[in-house]
Amino acid sequence: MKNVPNENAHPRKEPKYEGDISVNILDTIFTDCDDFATRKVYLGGEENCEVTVAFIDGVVSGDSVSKDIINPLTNKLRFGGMTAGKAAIDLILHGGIYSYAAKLRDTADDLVNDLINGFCAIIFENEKQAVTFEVKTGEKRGVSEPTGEKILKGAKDGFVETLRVNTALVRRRIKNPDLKIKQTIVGRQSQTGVAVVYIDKIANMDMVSELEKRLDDIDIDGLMSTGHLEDYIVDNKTSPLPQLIYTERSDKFCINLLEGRVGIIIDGLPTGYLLPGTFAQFMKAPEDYTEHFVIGSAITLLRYTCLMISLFLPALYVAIAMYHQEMIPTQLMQSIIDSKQHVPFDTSIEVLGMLLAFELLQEASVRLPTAVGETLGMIGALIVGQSAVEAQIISPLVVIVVALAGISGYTVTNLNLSSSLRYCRLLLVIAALLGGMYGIAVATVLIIYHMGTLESFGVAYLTPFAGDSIKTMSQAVFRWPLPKAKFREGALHGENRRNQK
Amino acid sequence: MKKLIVLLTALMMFPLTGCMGELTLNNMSRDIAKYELVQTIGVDSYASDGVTVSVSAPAVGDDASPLILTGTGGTVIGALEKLHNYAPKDKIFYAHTKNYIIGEDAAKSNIPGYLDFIERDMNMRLDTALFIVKEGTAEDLVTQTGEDDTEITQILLSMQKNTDLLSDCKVFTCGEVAANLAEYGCSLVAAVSLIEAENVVSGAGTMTALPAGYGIIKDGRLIDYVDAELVSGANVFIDGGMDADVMEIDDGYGGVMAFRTTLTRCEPEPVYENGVLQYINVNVTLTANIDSVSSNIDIYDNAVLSELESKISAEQEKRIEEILTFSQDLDTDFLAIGRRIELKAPVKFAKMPDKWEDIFSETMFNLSVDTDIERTYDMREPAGVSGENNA
Repeated sequence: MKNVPNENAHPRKEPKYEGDISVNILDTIFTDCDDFATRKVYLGGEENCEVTVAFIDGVVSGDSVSKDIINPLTNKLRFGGMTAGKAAIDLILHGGIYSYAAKLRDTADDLVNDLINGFCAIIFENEKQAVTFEVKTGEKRGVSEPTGEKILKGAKDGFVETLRVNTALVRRRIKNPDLKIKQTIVGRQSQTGVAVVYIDKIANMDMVSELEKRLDDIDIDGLMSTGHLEDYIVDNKTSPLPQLIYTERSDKFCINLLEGRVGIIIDGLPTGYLLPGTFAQFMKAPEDYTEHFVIGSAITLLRYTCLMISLFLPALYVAIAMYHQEMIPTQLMQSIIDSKQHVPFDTSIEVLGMLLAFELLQEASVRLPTAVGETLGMIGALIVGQSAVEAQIISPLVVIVVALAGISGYTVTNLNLSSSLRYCRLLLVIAALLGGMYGIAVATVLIIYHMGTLESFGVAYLTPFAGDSIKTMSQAVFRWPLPKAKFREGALHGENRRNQK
Repeated sequence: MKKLIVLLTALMMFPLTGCMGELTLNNMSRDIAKYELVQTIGVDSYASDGVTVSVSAPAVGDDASPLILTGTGGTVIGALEKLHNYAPKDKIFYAHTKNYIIGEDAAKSNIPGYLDFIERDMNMRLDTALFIVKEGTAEDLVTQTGEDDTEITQILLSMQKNTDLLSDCKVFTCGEVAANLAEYGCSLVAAVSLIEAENVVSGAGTMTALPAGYGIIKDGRLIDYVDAELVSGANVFIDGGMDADVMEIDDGYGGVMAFRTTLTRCEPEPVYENGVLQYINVNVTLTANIDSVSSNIDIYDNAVLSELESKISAEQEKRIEEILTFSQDLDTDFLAIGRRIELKAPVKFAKMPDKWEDIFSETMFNLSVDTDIERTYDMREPAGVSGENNA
């Protein structure tokens, strides 16, 4: 039978669970959920006064449930002589139970949401009400150094998988009530918490509203990976270029908030997102601001140079070796001919093959455990490099060209941009083998055209390289001494551009 | 999606058209390894109006030998195209040609005709060095020089690097010669001669090339040579002067002294009277260092040094006089003196009642050479200090 999707399954039904609060409805909703647990408790230890404590085992802290909820609930001195009614609820909401947060719930939908978010509920069947307390388990990964963005000079605390820990890291750095953290839920099934973080009076509020709107528009089953968010909120969904800045570093996240960008933190993911994402931002690294401005500028310049080498070197080699042999110095041409004398393949096949081998090695080593990955890298380097050259399957110069392009690509700090570069590099090589320098020129124009048409939340992707002043453009590459950088980036259109006296 | 499928299908059809035999759309492409890298082209006249072309490609690789081919055709390019068939690789590639050699007979007939190929062919470069073979053919020079792993290209490139230091001759490019011929009707071209290598290097058994002064081109033909003994005098006028030369002088004390001249500069100054060119003052300044002393001459004596400076000046004056006389006898201003005096006073030059070409052979030259010995290379001479006690 053909599996026809049910068109009526979406959109999201609100509220998802209808009905009054009762233990029976909870049992129905949590059917076949063995981690859902209930316990009958005598209020003040009196048999005629029974309430139900409900929670999801593992999500809540069992110790907290016992000590902070059941223990005071059964205390005769506190709740003795009370019925399971309004007075008891009132006492609980006013400190009768040891918890920093207590919520009174009237609907089954709210109650279920609280339970799955790590709350423990005391259910008053007669009143059709419940009081919920946040008693999440404390078992979570501790704050540690980011693995993907290590720096020598700078903070070592990176984001973890817990939303609240991450917001706390940010709040610890920006101790200001103007730091706003607006939380929303994304994912019909996963109910993942997503926090929009910005600094009031600095960020562009239109950008914040637009982000909130796009988050609200997401109607998916679960927000489990970074792609689930990126694919839904970026402006151009077909572009291979990254349009959101991601970071594992809380300090980088905060620096960008202070610049007027808007941040996103997702529960369950140890990364923060920043928007708008512009090309110049992807080329920056945290070290740029930890070094002297001259050194920082030189490193940034080197990174741009490496970007060009990574993008164009294999394509230029193909174009020169196949079309424009007159362009290179005679001795270099002699060396190339010498190195290729016994190689049976054309330059185009050699370069494409090496690029493919490079990608294979990279993909294979990423998927393997560290120790095995290193071994694979060494074996790959020996086989693809030394052995293939000795067997005269490829020329040593092609190995050098592809390796140099690959290594240069790694200087680009943003992994998403680095991945995009790999595909642009391949595109340029194909263009070069089809049309030489003309092909490269056409492909380059297409790439720049595509970048020129991109926008991220109303900001041009090529900001500040497109349509801005020379001074602003130069600041994308050359960092001035920080006391002279008195204004935030103008393209963000924040409310307050001045950042220092 | 349908559009994408159609586009992809269309793209996949490309290989079926036969346009992509080597993964390219452009049939001009050829892999770099399939080229023979020719770096020297020699041309000679062949039969009544044909051309013999000889090409040389240096050895690429440890065990390889140079590729040397000779062929004939109606034109240079025609002969070159025929050579493709004889090359072991797909094609001979001459965009990296460093040297263009014209045989003596060809040079005597029609040099612009042979330079036309350089000027028009998109692969050729105007900065290719131009040589004329004195008393020989380009074919002999290309095919007979060198040994198993060397060929004429290395010899000529080495010669070019050394000419400035040794002052054997200056090498002109095809572009420079073509421009001189177009503008002044005459030009100099570096000349080389083919000789037995054993005359130069003991034990060598093959032929080699040596500088042989300059060929003088006038009205598109080789008319004569500036012989080796006149080259030093000619070099003073070329490119405004000479950077290095060695001069041997009889010191008058029973020995011979060698001087390395480091900067020789020449400034022709025209003297007009009522718009008529009367004579040209040729003011030459040169600096020299003492390189070798073979007698007991006291080189710290200022009077001796002045005497030596006078001798150097006299020797240089003699050289210049010889080349000027030779130039005037030929009635050919191959030293481009006319161009230089024109630049000094363009209006006066243009208003001269007689054309420069008509009066050149009768023009008076007043020579003046000023020599300054700067260094004796003696340990007692403090660096950077000059004076009576530190000569």
